[in-house]
Amino acid sequence: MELTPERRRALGRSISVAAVVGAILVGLLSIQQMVENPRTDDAEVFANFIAMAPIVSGPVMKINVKDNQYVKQGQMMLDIDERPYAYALEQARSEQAALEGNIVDENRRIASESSAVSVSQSGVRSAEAALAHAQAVVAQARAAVIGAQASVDRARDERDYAVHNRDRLQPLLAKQFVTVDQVDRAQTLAAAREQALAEAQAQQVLADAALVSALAQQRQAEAHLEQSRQQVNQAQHSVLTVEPLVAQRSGKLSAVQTAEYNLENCRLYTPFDGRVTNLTISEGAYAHVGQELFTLIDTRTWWVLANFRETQLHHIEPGMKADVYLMSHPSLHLHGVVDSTGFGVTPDADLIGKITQGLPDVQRTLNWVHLASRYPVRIRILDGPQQNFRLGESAVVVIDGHPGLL
Amino acid sequence: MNEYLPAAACVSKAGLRNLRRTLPVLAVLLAGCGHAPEFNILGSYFPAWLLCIAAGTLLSGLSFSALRRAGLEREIVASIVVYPCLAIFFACTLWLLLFR
Repeated sequence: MELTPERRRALGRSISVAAVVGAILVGLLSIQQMVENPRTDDAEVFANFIAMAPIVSGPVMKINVKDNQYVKQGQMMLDIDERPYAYALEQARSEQAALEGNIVDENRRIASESSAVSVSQSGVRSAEAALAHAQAVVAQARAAVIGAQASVDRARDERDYAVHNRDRLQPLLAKQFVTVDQVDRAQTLAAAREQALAEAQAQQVLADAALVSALAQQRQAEAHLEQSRQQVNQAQHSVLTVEPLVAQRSGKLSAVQTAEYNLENCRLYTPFDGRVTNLTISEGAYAHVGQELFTLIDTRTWWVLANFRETQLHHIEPGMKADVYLMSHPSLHLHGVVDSTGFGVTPDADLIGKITQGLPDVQRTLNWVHLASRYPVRIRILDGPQQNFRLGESAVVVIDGHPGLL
Repeated sequence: MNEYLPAAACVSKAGLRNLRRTLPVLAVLLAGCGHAPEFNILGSYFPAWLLCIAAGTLLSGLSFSALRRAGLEREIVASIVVYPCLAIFFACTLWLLLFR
């Protein structure tokens, strides 16, 4: 094919212009792609992991898993010597039973003390009866005193009559108006009435003494009643309660439950599907409470932790789709979704200085060019061989940002 | 593993010959294909853009010899700008097609 020089020149010129314009065009497109779809090769596969540590201590009797083994949830992994914990449970149970026995005993003692109260209450009633009796005796004695007084009065009247009669008859004897016998009888009668008066007076003194004695008995009965009432109070106050023992019930129960919990935790079960890592012990190793025996990687959810520059972060939002490539399988295209972006990294000691107590340690050197801080972005992997991912694998992440021109 | 075909298998020879015309077709073809934008060379991962720049430089050299054979080499204006621009064009186009 022959071209005229003009056409050749025009063709050469258009090729030149097309090359420059094309370079600018695709260059701009590339830059737009880089900005709209942030990407990083500073990424690693990540999963949560836990340190498997026993809740009880003791020698490991049996290990049912191997290093790097895939385990399902609920699988028994490890067995710590159960015997001491079984004994402890037995002891806690026996203490609980002993407490129940004590409560029964205490209830019986309380019942006996309650009957003692009833006994003393009947003592009060008996003292009340005794007091009523004493009061009746006093009334009787008062009536006897009144009767004795009346007897004395009557005896005195009769004596006075007899004495008057004798004194009237005696002068008549000299004139022979009465016989000697009549005088003698009057004298005898007067003497007898005198005796009767003395006797009535003695009866009155006796009745007075009986009244005093009855009053004393009444006071004694009152005192006895008061004493019986105080005894009832005392008996009522001395009745014990079973509350202190009942209050111990929950303590003993919790001791039993703690022992059961410890016994159950002699066996370590897998809390989730995962992979055993860093298992470097054998049977007989002594397991300490809370001290790591091995690591379990939670293989249920895998992430890629990708570090993005701070300038890229505002193009990344949770929920965005992401393409994930693992360098172990470069042609495997995995899909992911942005879970969250990091909100904190350790400050650069060269830039703001070390964070120390006292005064801030600020560097004197200054850099003209500063490097962008980078933050980890958590991308959840949605597909792929979830069991076979490895924590720490190199990965490349491309975020599907807003759609560009292409 | 079948849905994860290597990207190279999806790029036809015709597509490489006239990139700009077949670009939408390629874009459709490339959808669903993918290779990590890094290449493992003896345990070291080289980024794809580095390889694209190398390929662009190579293609730019090839265009130089093609233009020379066509006798158009002397008609290129400001070749010191045009060939680097060609290299950039090829590199960016390859990158956009294969690793976008």
